[in-house]
Amino acid sequence: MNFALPAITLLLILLPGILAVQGFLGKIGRKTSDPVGQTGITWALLAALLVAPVIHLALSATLVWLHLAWPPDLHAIFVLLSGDFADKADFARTIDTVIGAPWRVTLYFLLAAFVGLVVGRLVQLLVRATKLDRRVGSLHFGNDWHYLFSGEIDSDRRRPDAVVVAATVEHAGQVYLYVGYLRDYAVDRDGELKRLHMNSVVRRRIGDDREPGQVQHIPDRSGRFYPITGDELVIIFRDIRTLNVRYLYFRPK
Amino acid sequence: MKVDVYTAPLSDEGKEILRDRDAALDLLYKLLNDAQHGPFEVKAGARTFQVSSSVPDEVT
Repeated sequence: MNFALPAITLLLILLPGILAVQGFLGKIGRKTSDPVGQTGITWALLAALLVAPVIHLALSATLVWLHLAWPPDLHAIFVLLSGDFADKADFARTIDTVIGAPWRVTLYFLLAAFVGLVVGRLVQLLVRATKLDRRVGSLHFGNDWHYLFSGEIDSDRRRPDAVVVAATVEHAGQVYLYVGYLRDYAVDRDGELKRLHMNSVVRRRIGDDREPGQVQHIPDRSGRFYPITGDELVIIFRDIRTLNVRYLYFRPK
Repeated sequence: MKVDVYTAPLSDEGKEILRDRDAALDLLYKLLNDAQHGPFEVKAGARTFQVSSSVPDEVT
């Protein structure tokens, strides 16, 4: 039976880096499938390759300093990674290193994976708190809809108190304008918007534009706009032609 | 395909206005009627809010 020991070892070593990248990206992160040129490697994997050794170095140095672990046996690691087990003495020494301290090895990799996840999340919080993702293009997260609907289209704007969306939607051969308060929205893993969930929505046919000088009465007496009854309106994005977003800021009087 | 659901920004004041459907619709009509950024006044329950769709510094 072949356990593909080098592949399993490599995965265990890279896992903290992979989790750090995922922790950093989070839900609003860059699409992890973005390839680096034609190499078949994704940006996420490339970053994980760079970050994982740093986490291992920092963690193992800390554990050794605290007398909680021995220095890592790099020779054993390279033997496992190489997949060359022809030298029986070398292989036996490597196996002894792992089997001799199974709990320490297991706990180390669990701890390293946890540290990776926490570090990634903390870096994301730092980037978001300092608004670096809005100022530095390379730190901009992949979900553009999040920036649009959260009012984060520039670094100066503060988070709005509410968001009003106006969407033109085609159905039954007619184009309607829906205007309402955005509550939730759904984005798929490719970063495409799928649904808008709105409250207190009014609509009118797009052809019923306001006449010159006509005032939009409050409440609407012209009959152009009428409220949609119901608690929540869901609009499927594939039916939307255009989208207008308006950020609202409230101040109690 | 699996989707992630996000919640749009909605402050406590925003929730208060949205709970009062008449106030929410009243504000919508004011926004539809006026191409300017406001400010508008909206009464929700016992409270009155000044609403602007510009950056807060422009609220007067």
